[in-house]
Amino acid sequence: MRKRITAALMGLLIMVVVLVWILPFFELISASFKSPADFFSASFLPEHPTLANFDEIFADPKTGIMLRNSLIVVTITTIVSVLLGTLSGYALARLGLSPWVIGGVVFVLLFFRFYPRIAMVIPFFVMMRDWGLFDTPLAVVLGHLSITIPFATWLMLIAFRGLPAEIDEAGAIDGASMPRRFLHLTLPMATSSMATAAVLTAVLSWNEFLIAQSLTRSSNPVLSTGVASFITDAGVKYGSMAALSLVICIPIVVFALVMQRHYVAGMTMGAVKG
Amino acid sequence: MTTSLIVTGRPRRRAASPLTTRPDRFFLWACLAPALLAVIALQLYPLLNASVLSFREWSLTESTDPGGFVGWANYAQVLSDPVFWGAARTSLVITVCGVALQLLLGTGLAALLRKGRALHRTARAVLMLPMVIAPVAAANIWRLMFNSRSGSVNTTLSAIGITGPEWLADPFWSVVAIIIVDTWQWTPFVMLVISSAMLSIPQELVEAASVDGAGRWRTFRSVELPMLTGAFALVVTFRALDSLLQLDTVYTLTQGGPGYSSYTLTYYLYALGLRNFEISASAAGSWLFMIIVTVIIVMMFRLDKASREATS
Repeated sequence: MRKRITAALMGLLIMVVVLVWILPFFELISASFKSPADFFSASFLPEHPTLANFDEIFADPKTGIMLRNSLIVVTITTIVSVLLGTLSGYALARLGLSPWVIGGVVFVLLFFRFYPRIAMVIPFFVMMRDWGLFDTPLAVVLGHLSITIPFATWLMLIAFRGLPAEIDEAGAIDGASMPRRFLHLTLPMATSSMATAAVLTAVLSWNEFLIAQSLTRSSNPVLSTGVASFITDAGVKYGSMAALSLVICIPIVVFALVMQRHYVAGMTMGAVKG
Repeated sequence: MTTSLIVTGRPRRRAASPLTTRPDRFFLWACLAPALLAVIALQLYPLLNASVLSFREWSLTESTDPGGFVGWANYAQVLSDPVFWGAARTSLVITVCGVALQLLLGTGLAALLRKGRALHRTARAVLMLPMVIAPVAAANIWRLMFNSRSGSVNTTLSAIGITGPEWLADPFWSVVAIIIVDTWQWTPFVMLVISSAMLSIPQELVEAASVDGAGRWRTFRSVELPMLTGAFALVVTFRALDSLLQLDTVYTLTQGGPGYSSYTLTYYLYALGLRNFEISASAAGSWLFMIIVTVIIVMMFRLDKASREATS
């Protein structure tokens, strides 16, 4: 009996925590249907629900440009990173480098994940200006690739090191060349890790702000920089800010829920491996 | 169980077997080449460029090309700027308070949701959502929440008789607001890492402890907590670095304001370089920042190695 009550209370506690934690999402949805007057009253739900905020953002041609640019950036970044990361992860795992060298490589790869991006952004900005790529989606792609290629390499290096070498050796004894063994024996065992790398790369690229903000002007933005641009001297347009924020959130939330297994595997990677 | 950045189970044999032939090695280097070139062009080159720029004179408002070498003048300029030191202090406060809060809440949630029941799985999936959305979107959501008239934060506070502060217009509360947003967004990350570390604790150990008469709390403290040390060390360094380096929340939520009160180091360097176009001073500041971050990364590696040696 006592056990049952404890369990019920725990269940209740969990539900309360979850509700509090996702309340901000409800506020976002509610706010995107509010009319300007509703932002002066203390009601949680819109008193005069309206679609005007969505009409307004989609009437602006910039929203279309942002969506298009973001989709281009995410697609190219993800494909190129997973491709190059898989190849280089495989090479690093199979070159037979000493543990010291591997340790050094991993240190450098993690360093590229964590050092102050702002240090790279300024020369990058100058470089893109000189190459004539400033204010194009391609500049943002190159900026994102500088982070995601080392990151995908790290993930795939871990994945390939975890695979047993026996199958590969058996293939070699049977006379299969290394490229064939890579394609037909090793790669099929690594598809799940490739999916993980793809999911993490796509989420990062869709959400990234500093690089996108530094390499584009307000005329040719991606979604994340557009969403951040609602701070004006004339005050905040809360309604359209909420509507556009919803537009950037919905695809990535759906994507992450569908790809939950891969996303969680990637985020907890390196933390726990038995 | 090992906690490690590098190894997923030791490979049973050295990865490169004696069967690796010359054409094989050529193939492997060809696989490595594109990524290597990309990293050199897109990372090493800009970084080296930044280090050269930090010793030259260049303000983009005055000239489109870098000027002559000025020695350590840019570094002196940054180090003598009171805004830099204020930003360093704010960064430290946000990182220490935020990470401590996230660690407490995240571990609590992980413990609460450790069972595999449907409710727990659903709760974990829902709680994960804040960390997948763009930090700029998260900051926008909280600007709605902190709105002093219609936002949920102050209307809730006034329902229990407290008059909430003008969150984003107040030098103290704007920093608290940044910590709250960071905590909302990243506590789920701590929860995910700690709960998967908990799942990998052998269940026999826990059962043995309870057979020996240890209570629930005592089992947690004496048996499970020590096995989570590695995961804690890792999550703290990951969070501390990301929190130190992130620009998005400050940019969207407070713009460093009011005044300079919520400037963080990253925001300071961003504003210096890409708003005031003091390119060379910003590059110098970035290198000072880099030293701090490198020390943290090296520490992370030491901890990782130590915990691997302790558990293997």
